[in-house]
Amino acid sequence: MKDFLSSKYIQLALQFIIGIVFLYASYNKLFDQVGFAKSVYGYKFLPDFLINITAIVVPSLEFIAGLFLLFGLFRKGSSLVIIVLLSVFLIALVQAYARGLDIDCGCFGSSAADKPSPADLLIRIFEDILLLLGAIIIFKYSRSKYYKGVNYNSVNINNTNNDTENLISNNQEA
Amino acid sequence: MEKKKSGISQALLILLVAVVVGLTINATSSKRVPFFTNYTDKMKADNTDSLTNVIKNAAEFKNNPYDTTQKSKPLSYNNNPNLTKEGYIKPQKIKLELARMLYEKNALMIDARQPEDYKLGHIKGAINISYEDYHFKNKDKLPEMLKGLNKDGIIICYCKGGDCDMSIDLAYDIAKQGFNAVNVYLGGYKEWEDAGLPVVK
Repeated sequence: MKDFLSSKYIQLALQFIIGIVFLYASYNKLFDQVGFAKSVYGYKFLPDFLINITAIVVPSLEFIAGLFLLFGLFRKGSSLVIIVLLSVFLIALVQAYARGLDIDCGCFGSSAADKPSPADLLIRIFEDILLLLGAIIIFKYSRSKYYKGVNYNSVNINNTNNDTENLISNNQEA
Repeated sequence: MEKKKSGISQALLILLVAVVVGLTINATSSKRVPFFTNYTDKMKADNTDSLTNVIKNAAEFKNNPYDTTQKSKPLSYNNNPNLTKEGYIKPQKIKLELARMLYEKNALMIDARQPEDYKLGHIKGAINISYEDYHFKNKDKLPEMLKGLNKDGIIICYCKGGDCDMSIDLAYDIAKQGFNAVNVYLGGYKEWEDAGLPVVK
C-alpha cells in the first residue's frame, strides 16, 4: 500500500488533480475580493476583523500552493498549506451544514452557478474530504528527489518503524 | 525531523509570498476590500420606531415615486436627522412591518439582484437595478436608470435576504444621487414571499 501511494504515478496524478482544482478555485476569487468576503461572511464562522484579510490572502494562497503543487515544487510545503486550507474549509462547511445556513459556498468564487442548497453543501463536503485525503498522501508519501540515493535515513526519518521497508522500496526503485 | 521542518518552513514561505501577492492584487483590483468592514453593524436594522409611528398616523399620504413635480417631502423625511457629513441622506435599514406599511403607501421597490433572479420572482411592482451589473461594469449607468424618479419619493431596496448586502450597497449609491427617502428592506424577497405578501412570478 505504502509503495503504491508513494509511486511516481500516483504522486504525479494527485499533484496534477489537486493543483488544477486549486488553480481553478482561486481563479474566480483572485480578482473579486468583495464577492469572496461576502461568501466568507455568510459562513458566520470568522469574527468581522478576519473576514476581509481572509478574502485578500486565501485566494492567492490557493493559487500559489496549487501552482507549486502542479509543477512539483515545494511539495511538502504546498501540500501542507493545502491540508491546512482544506481542514479549515471542512470545518466551515460542516458547521454551516449543521446550522442549516442558506449560503453561497464561495468555493469556486461567487457566481450565479454557485446556488446554495443543503445538497450542494454535502457535495462540497465530500469533495473537500477527497482532496484532503489526496493532499495528505502527497504530504506523507512524496519522496524528495534531492535525498533519493544520497541518504536514505533522511528520506523518512520521522517514521522510524518503517525505515527498513523504505530502504527496500527505495532500493527496488533505484 | 529534518523532513518535517522543511515542510513547515516551505509552508511559511508560501504563506509569506501569498500575503504579498494578495495585498498587491487587492490594491489594484476593481473589487478590492478595505482591511476591515464592520459586517455586524452593516447588517443590523436601524431603529425606525418614530418613522413607523408617523406612517401609522398618516392615513392620507400616498407616495408617488414617479411624480417629479411633488414638492413637499413625505412624512418624517422632513428635516431629516439622517443627513451625513458627505451631504446625502443615510438610507434606513428597515424590517418587514415598516416595509409593508411603506409598500402600502406606494413606495417604489427596487430589486438589487441579478436579472435572472428578478425574472424568477420579485415583489409585485418592483423594478430591477442589478447591483453587480452597474456597480462593477458601468458605474455611470445608475443616474440614467434613476431618471424620471421623484427624488423625495420613498424607495425600498431589497435583495434575497439573509446575508445579502447588495441592497444596502445599492441604497447608498442611490442616496448619493440625491434621493432623500431611501430604505433597505433587510428581510428581502424570501421573507416577503414567506409572509404571503404580493409577488410576481
